[in-house]
Amino acid sequence: MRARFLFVFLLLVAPVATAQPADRKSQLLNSRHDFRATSRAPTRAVDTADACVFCHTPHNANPAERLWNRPLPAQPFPVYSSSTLAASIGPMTAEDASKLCLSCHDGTIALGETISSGMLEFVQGRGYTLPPESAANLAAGQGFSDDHPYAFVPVPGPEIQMPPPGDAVRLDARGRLQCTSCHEPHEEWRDPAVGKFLVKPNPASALCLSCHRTAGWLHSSHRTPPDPVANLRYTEAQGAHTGYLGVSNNGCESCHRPHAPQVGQRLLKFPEEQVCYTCHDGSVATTARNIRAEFQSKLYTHPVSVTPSVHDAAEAPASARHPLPETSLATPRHVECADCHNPHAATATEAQPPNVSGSLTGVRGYSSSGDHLSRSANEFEICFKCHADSVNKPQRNDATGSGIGYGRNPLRQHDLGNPEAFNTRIEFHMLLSYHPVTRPRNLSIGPGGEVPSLRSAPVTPAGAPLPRRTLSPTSYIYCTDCHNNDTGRNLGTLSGPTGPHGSNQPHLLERANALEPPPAYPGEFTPGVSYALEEYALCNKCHDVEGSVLRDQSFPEHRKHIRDQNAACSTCHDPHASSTPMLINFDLSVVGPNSLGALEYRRTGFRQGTCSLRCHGKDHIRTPY
Amino acid sequence: MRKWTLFLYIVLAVSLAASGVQAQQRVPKTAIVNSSHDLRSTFNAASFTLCTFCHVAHKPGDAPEGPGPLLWNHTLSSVASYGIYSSDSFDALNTDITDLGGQTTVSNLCLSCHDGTVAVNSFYEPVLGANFQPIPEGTTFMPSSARIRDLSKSHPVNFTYDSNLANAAALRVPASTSSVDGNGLVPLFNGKMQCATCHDPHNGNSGIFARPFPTQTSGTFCTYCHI
Ligand code: HEC
Ligand code: HEC
Ligand code: HEC
Ligand code: HEC
Repeated sequence: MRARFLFVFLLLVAPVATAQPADRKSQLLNSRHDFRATSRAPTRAVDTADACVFCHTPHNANPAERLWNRPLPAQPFPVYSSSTLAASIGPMTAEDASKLCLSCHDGTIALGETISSGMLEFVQGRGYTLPPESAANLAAGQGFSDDHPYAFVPVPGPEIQMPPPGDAVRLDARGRLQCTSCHEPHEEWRDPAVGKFLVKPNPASALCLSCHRTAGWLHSSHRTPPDPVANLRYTEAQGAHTGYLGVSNNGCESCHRPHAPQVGQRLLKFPEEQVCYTCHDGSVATTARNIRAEFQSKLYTHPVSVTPSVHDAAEAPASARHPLPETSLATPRHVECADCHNPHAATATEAQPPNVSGSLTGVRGYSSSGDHLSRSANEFEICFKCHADSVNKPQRNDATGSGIGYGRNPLRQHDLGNPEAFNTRIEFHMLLSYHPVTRPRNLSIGPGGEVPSLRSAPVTPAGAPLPRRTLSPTSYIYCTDCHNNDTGRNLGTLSGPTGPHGSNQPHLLERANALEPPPAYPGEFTPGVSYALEEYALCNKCHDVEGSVLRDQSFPEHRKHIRDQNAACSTCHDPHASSTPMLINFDLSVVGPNSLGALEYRRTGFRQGTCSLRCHGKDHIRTPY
Repeated sequence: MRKWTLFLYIVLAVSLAASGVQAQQRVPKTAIVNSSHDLRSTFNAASFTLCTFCHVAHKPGDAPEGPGPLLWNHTLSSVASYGIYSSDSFDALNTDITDLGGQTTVSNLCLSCHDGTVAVNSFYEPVLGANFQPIPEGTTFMPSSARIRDLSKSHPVNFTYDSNLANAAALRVPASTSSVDGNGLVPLFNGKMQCATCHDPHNGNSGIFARPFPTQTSGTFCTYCHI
């Protein structure tokens, strides 16, 4: 008896033991595709001994190709579509091998239905079809609109290549991608972690990369997280569905899923920011990158959590359906993580202004002259996507100056009646005086210079220079030097994410920049802001408020205004830009015209000028300094 | 099909019964008796006509030579084209596979009855009835369930099955040009795969006249070649 078992055993293992390069059909045995009565698969026939008959017959096959032995699917299900798809995905044709797979996997035809032998009974019942709740039933739910497209001719492009010769991933003879491009139905465990009949092992999405050459991926932190410990915190419990551990090895499938993702378009595992929160909620990425907490706990945020607020990867000036900058007042504003970040390209590299840092690599934008860029080189170009030429900017709705949810808006003198008042691109690039965001100022510094208050480096709130940053007449600064997290590493601390996700400071500012409470009528008395350095922490980051400004090194009346009369920096200066020199652009909710009806700052020479205005009840009639 | 399944069980039973690692044996020609290739009772023919429905001991002058020594007696079919199996992964497609129509390969012998165009009882040398009378010819055709007419829908045959092909398509490498296993259990014909590679028309032990394949790991013989 023992000898007989040995014999049977030898029969079973002998062919498996010799390694073969090509597709070995006997690997099918005891896989999930082995439906013999004696198979180890849970889904199997009651008394059929033959493993091949469920799909093949040597004679009178239909379709003839691959000697098919099953009825073919006839039900039309919706197929994949997306706004960025170059290929056209039509209905399957008779020649598409994918049709064979779907004769079981669309859930409409019994697994035991054959041409040669009629209905073979399954343990699960006679006429058993894949039930809707089975993951293998691809049509259940959203049809095939939430499945990777199949039965189409891929269109090669900068980010799509044809699988290289010799690759296990292959197109069919008609150059079409089929289920069988990724799956080898006879061999379940070529990828020992995943199974799923993949044509080759898929660690770090090796399979996807046979066709997808997504720009930036090679160096991306999402391909190789800089923190190896954090990488491995992405486990099955965290949503890693492949069988692999870690962000790196899950590769594309950390965020995407080729079948049955929650969002069909672009096959995303979750909607919008929820995809990013899988890791960026403190669970996987370090607490230094807990972005979810920023959005959920801060008073002022870029409102990514608002739903629907749809970002579309096709957004561009030329896009008919998703024009950006927005061209219609009626288009709702939106912001999502993917508006500012390219998850395929993001790295941890630092940069100097105005260049984009690693986390903003590979993002579209608009140059300071308004040209659409497929890759922003400078950070401000990303901000200009929404804060420049979009016609639906909400500030225009703010008639009273009480703001649009980000704190009081100063009513700037030169904004009145100016259609481009909130176009930061025009502001920074066209106006006479400006903070050096898109172009350097070249103002002289040091005692006796135009800007004597400028520090040699921006400082932390405690006054220590921020590492790896300097300031000089020719330096640039970032939008995020002012608009940033109020508790992030940008302040010189060790934890807390950088970037303008959220802040408890109005206008999403990194530090305090006090505005005066407006008087009942502009020009009338107001108690102002009783001076404390912390009130102007933001300006003090780069301008030495106590060591220079209050020592009247530039404007000789600074101390009198700020310390003695409780005026705020913002009352006279526009931190973005102004069409008058020295960033003077009065806040008209505080400053009014003088008794002669004049409201004007005029520069008359180096450290010389006159003011005509009324403020805190004090009339200035061409008051000189 | 049920016959096939039954056959597989029989083969399995036979191999189990044989103690130890025992090679399969070639099937004796007598196994044809009482099989569906034993046409004597169908045509009320004499007992000694068992083989004569296909072979004849002495060939008359007007019979075509046929393939080799088989002394073929069944009228060959004049079908000009049976079609050829094709698929984008079928490696022999562009090699030497040719349409069997009008040829005289061993597969044409099967097709002479099984394509359904020539009557099963149609001979070069008459087969004698029970009373030693020539039975009437050309009366009975192949039932449609056993007809093989369109070879584009059938397992490919009539192509060279050699080690190049085997390696390219992950198949067992044939031991010689005359058989896959080397012992004649799974024959090739001048290195080519034919109907009779899978079928032994004499093997009545099997409902489908299968060859006695050495192994049947998948419950069928397919994986003997498709390793
Ligand atoms: C239904 C048709 C048919 C009948 C009936 C038939 N044969 Fe054959 N025979 C064939 C075919 C076809 C071949 C060629 C294929 C092969 O080699 O098996 C063949 C081959 C042979 C061969 C040569 C190959 C080998 O296996 O050695 C011999 C010998 C032979 N037959 C003997 C017999 C004998 C003896 C009988 C009667 C008991 C018989 N055949 C009855 C069809 C038939
Ligand atoms: C002399 C005519 C004849 C020749 C030649 C012949 N067969 Fe047959 N074969 C038959 C007949 C008659 C049947 C019974 C068909 C039926 O009634 O279902 C049959 C049955 C079969 C069956 C079984 C079908 C079943 O389901 O019972 C197979 C398999 C088969 N033949 C294969 C072959 C092969 C392979 C060859 C060539 C090597 C061959 N036959 C040559 C006449 C022939
Ligand atoms: C790859 C092996 C293989 C080859 C080659 C092959 N057959 Fe078959 N044949 C089978 C199997 C297996 C069956 C049983 C199929 C079933 O019952 O579903 C079969 C069944 C048959 C039947 C029974 C009727 C049917 O359709 O099921 C006939 C007749 C037949 N074959 C004739 C032929 C002829 C004629 C050729 C050559 C043209 C041929 N076979 C080539 C494996 C083969
Ligand atoms: C005697 C060896 C042998 C046996 C037994 C055999 N095959 Fe094949 N089969 C071949 C060869 C050789 C090819 C040609 C392979 C190639 O060139 O891709 C082939 C081709 C095929 C193809 C076409 C593959 C393609 O790429 O289009 C299918 C399907 C197939 N066989 C199924 C079967 C099934 C099902 C069985 C069992 C009923 C079977 N084979 C039994 C040798 C065999």
